[in-house]
Formats: sequence, structure tokens, C-alpha cells
Amino acid sequence: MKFILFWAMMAGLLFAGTVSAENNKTLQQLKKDTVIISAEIAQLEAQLFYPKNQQLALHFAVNTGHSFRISELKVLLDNNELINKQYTARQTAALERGGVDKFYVGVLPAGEHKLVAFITGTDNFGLPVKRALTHKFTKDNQAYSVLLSAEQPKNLSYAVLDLVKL
Amino acid sequence: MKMTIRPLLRAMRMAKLAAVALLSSTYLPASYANNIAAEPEQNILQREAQFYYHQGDYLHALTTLEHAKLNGERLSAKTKLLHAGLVLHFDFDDNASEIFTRYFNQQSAAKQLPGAYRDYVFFVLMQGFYQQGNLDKAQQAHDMIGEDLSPEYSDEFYYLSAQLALALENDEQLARAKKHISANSIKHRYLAFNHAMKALAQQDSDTALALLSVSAATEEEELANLAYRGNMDINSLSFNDELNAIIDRSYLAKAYIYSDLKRYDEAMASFKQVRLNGMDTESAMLGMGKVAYFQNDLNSALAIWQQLTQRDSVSSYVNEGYMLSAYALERLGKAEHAYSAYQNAIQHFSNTQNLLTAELSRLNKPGYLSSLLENNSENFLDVGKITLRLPKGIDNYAQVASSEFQRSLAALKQTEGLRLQLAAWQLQLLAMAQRYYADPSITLESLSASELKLAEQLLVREQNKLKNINIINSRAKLLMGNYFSQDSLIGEQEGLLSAYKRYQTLETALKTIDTKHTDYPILRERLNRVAGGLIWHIGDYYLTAEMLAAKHNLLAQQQYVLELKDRDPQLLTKQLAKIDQQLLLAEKHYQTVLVRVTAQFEDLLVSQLNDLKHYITHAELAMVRLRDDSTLDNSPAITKLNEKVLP
Repeated sequence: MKFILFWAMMAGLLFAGTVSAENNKTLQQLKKDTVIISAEIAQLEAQLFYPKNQQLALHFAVNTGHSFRISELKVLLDNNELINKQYTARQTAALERGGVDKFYVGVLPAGEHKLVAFITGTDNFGLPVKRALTHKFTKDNQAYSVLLSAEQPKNLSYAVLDLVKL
Repeated sequence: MKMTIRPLLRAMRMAKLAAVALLSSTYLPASYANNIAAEPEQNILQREAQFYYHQGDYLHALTTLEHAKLNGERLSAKTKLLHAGLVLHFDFDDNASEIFTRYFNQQSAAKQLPGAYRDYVFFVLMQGFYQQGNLDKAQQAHDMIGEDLSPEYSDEFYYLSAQLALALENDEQLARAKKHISANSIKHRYLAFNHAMKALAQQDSDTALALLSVSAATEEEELANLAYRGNMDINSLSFNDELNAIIDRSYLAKAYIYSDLKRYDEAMASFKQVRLNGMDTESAMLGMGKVAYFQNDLNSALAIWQQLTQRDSVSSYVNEGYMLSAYALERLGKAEHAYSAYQNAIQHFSNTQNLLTAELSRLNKPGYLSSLLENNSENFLDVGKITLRLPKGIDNYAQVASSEFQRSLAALKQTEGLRLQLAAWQLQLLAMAQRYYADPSITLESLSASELKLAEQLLVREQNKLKNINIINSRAKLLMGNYFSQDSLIGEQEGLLSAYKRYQTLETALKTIDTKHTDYPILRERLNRVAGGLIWHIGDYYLTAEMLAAKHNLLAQQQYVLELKDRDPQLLTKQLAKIDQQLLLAEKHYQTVLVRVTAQFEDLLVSQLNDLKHYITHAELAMVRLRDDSTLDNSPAITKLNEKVLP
């Protein structure tokens, strides 16, 4: 019986998934501080290379329930392709659950600009859907941050593409 | 009196409404708009974290939340719960437990969360608590999960629910979970196996055997009569390594239980089901030989054990096989063959001793143990599956598989992950310094000594850029007259005029308020600001697009230069020092864990060496006895040997 019970001990390891590291306060503190360093580096990078007064930040969200599933997002800035992003099933699901994708951050000189966004996906019948939007804006000496979103207005049966300045 | 106050209050209300309307106008200076946008932007960063979180990219999610905290953002109650789940997942205590308890005690707060969000957050919390061994809290989190958990997590959830039910002996929950795990999921087998082990620990062999039949089943007709099958279906099984491993392990466990119950025929039948090329083959062969021995079939036992010794392995099963095959020959009266079998065994044990001794000497060489660890972690906080590539000669069961050893390995691996990540960040920071100061010759060593000078040079460069823009701007001012004359003051000015009209309404409303009224100075001040904003934008309106861009670029550059002046000129050096310090701490902890794991590993090798020494002593004694032609069964050495090698 003793030998067989050895398998009982083994069972937990083999079939219960990953093993957590030993409960060590030093290790826990190390992990906690390292996560903060990771955030500090991200903050530092933004501060050094994308200063607030020159920054352009673009986000994307989906608020359509199941009436639209995004597969591709394309953005042109001043007639040049800025981004062409294919969304994976996992990313699409994360957007549907309320996540926001910050898909671009960069610097942009002040002045008049034109942003054209295209989204491609499917509706709840699996039929292809394409929407586009043109947004002309003047970048001043402040950060310019926008949220593009696929929306499902209450009075419409189809999704639309919307843009909000943040 | 009443007649005079009412219009005043109405006027004040109107003034406030107009002020709000005007303040939110797009014609106001951008700084106003920024204040208004601050709140949604905070939500955006937290929703950005959710984007990673819902993809299972927990490190990115956690880093984004920490970034938000560094930016001075307050995490919403909902986000705090998400954060708690993340720190639990990564197995470091923050105040996750307290946050959870607060939520749990205020279930109404949790109910206000969107269903799918709430269920996923509590699912992550449940996993975290379970992983930490906090079963009560895991069960509480489990009970908060409703019907909205995404179907892709269903199997994982019900498997965990069943594991919890097993641990907390909740039969109802166990039965419910079994009904919901997908019919063709391998988790049914894991669950049945783990349940069997629990039954076994409670001395309930019948239940254990019934459960192991479920985890081993390969034919639908076998399954039809089995209890505990739950929702399990085995149509169109596809045999992969994972499935084969659990089937082998189930048959092996069944065989040993039958053997323990002296039901030798059933034990033999179960041993025979274990594959010849799996992880459990050697254990099964050894057991099979023992069952044959117990059935007094010495020839079969000998044949099986001899087959076992042919395997290119130094596992304890094979070691026992060597001793037992020699002993069986002795029992069969084949003294000469037995003598040579003992000689073979000693040779095999000596070879293994050499391997283990060499391993022991390598153990204290720097980096040796870590070189045996396979790094399959996705990120520096992820432990992943612990794989220790054991060198030939090491028996990989028992101590290596023990929970204590595995946890130490996890700590070692995780600390190593931290070290690697911190070292990578040193290089990332160097690349950032080179790019920021536009100087590729900067090195990690030179950065701290030169950053003050580099920052100064950067400031001078940016100030020069500002001067150039100023020159362009002053030249442009000479042309201002043209711009005014070219403008026809129609079209786009409508918005501006409408804002001006609202400003005038506001002015009129303010005039109706007594200047001694307590709110008057505040309203006056706000209105002045609005007027300032209007003047600013009217000014912009008369500029061409190019001039406006030049103005904003000038302002942006001015701001940047001011920011650079205020910026810590040793920003990168300080961050680098922080990383260096953390690396030092990680290194120190790594050495502590390494010493502990090395000692455990050393114990393992020494214990294996002791076993070998023991075998060699007994093999030598047996050889002496055989040479002296002593009685086979009654010698104390054989009695001892029996105790050691026979069950």
C-alpha cells in the first residue's frame, strides 16, 4: 500500500498543472519589485521618446455585442499607411470583453492631418462587413489621443465605426 | 425679496450652464480639453490592461496596471479585483486576499460587474487561490462564478471545481463538475485518477479500482458499465503521448492495488496493459516479475526480470531487476548462472556508481545545475512546467518528483527568470540611452559617468532647434498682414461666432448677479478664462494652416525644452542603478536557492549511491555464499536481501 500511495503523491504533480514556487517572502518581494521596474521602464520609454506634446496615440475598442467581429484594422495617416493589423481570435475575444487595444503610439508634428481608418470583419450572420471613417484634425502642442470604436447604435441594425478624441 | 432672489438664482444657474457649455467647446485652449479628457483616458489605460488580461497575457496586464498606478491613476474597484487575481496568479502576495474578502463580503458590488467580466475575474482568482493551496478562498471564488464564463474556459473551470470538490469532499459539486466537462476531454481521466488516489489514501481499494478503470478505459463497452464515468465519452479516441501516459499510469496503479490485494491474475493482466516503451514500463516489468514470483512461477519471474536488465537504464527498477534475476536463478538451483548474474549486477552497479560519482563532482561547478533546467517559461514571472533534464545515471522518481524538490526547482527557475529579465533590461536601457542621446558609443559602464554631460548637450541641441523655429516664426510675423487680408471671415467662423454669442449671454447673465454675491468672484474668474480662450482661438483662426502648425510646433518645442530643463539629467542612470540593485538581490537569492537545491540533489545522489552500495554488499555476500555452496534460503544475508528487494 505504501508503494501505491507514492502514486497518490505523484498524481498531484502530474495532473494538477503547474507547481507554484515555494512560499518565500524574498522571492515574492523580488517579483513584486521587478514588476514595478518593468512598469517604470515602460513609463520611461514613453517619457523619453513620445513626449506628451508631440504624442499621437491610437486605440481601438469594440462595443457591438455579437453583431460585429473584427478581423482587420487599417489606418492611413496623411495618405500613408500607418498600421495594418490582423486580429487573432483571442484578441477579438478580448476586445469583445471590454478590452482596449492601444495599437499605435508615436510622435506627430503639429499641423493639420488626416486620418482614415478601415475596419473589416463579419456580422452575426458571418457576412463580411467593412466600415471606414475619415477624421481631419489639427495637432497642436498637446498629445493627440483617439479611440476608434466599432459601435452598434440602438436605432441601427448594423455596426458603425466611430471616433472619439480622448 | 423673493422676487429679487429668484431671477438671481435662475441667472446663476444659467451662467453655470453656459459656462459648462462654453468650457467644453472645441474652441477652448487645449489644456481645458485635457482636463476634461483626463477621466476617460484613465479608463482607457485600465481597459488596455483588460485587453491583455482577457488574452491571458497576465504579465502585460499587470505591468500596464502598475504603469497606470505610477501615472498616479486610481484603480477602480473592478480593476483592483483584476489586479488581485493577477498577483495571485504570479504567486506574490499583495493584498489580494483582503481585496477578495472585501468583494466577497459585499456580494452586491460583485453582482454589479458585467457577468462575463465578473465570472472571468473570479475564475482567475479561483485558480490563484487553488494554486496557493488556499482551498476555502478558492471555493468562495468558485461560488461567485455564474453562468457567464466564456465556454473556452468551461473545461478548466469544471476540472478545478471537481478538484476542489475532491479536496473538500463535496460530492454534489464533484458530480456536477463531471457532468459539465466536455465528453471527450482527457480531464475526465485525470479526475478519475486523482479521485482514485484519494480513495486509496482512505484505504478504499474497491472505489480506487473502479475509478482507475475509468481513467484507463479505451473501449466504449468497457465504459458502459463503469461507475464514476460522469459525462466521459471515448468514441474516436486519438492516442497521443498524454493519453497513453495516463492510461499506462492507471493500469500500473491498478496492477499494484491488485497485487497488494493478492489478486495476482488481475494484477498480471493490468501490468500487461502497460506499454513497453512508456514512462512506466520498467516499473511494470518489475511488478510483473514479482507477481509471477508470488504465484510461484519462478521461471516466468526470471524471464521478465532478465528482460528488465536488458534495458539501457540505471533506474532503481532495473537495479532491482538485476538483483532479483540473480536471486531467482539461485532459487532455481542454477548456482553457476546465479554467480555470474551477481557478477553482472555488481558490474552494472559499479558503472552506475561511477556515473553518479562523476555527477556529484560536477554538481558544485558553477552553472551546472541551472544548465539542467529547461526554460520553457513565457515570461519572467511564469514558472511554466518544471523540467529538469536528468543526466544518465540518476533515478528520476522519488525525490525528484517530490513536491518539496519541485517547489525548490520552481523557485530556482523563477529566480533565474528574474535574473535573465533584469540583465535583458540593462541592455534595453542601454539601447534607450543610445537612441535618446543619439550617441551609439555609450556603454553600460560609461553611462553613469557621462549622462550629466549628455543631458546638457541634448538640452543645448533642443534649445538651438527652438531658436531656429523662433527665427522662422519672426519672419512669418512680417507677413501677418497678408493673412488677415486673405481671410473672408465666413464659413468655419460660424462655430467661433456661436461660442462668442454664448460668451455674450454669459456676460449678460453675470451682469444680473450682485457683485457682492459669494459666487460672483468665481464666476467672474471663469468667464475671464473663457474670454481668454476665445481670444486665443480667434487669433488661431486668422492664421493659415502652415502658420498655425508653426505656432504649435514652436509651443511644443518650448514645452519640450522646459520639460528637458526640469527633467532629471540622470534619469537613465538612476533607472539602471535600480535594475543593477535588483539584479544583485536576485543574484543573491539565486545563490541561496541554488545551495538548497544543490544540497537536495546531492542527497538524492548520495542516497542512490548508498542503495548501490547496499546492493553490491549483498551481491558480494551472495557470491561468497554460492562459492561456499551454502544453503540458499536460510542464510541471514539472503533473509536480509529478501527484506530489501521483495515486497
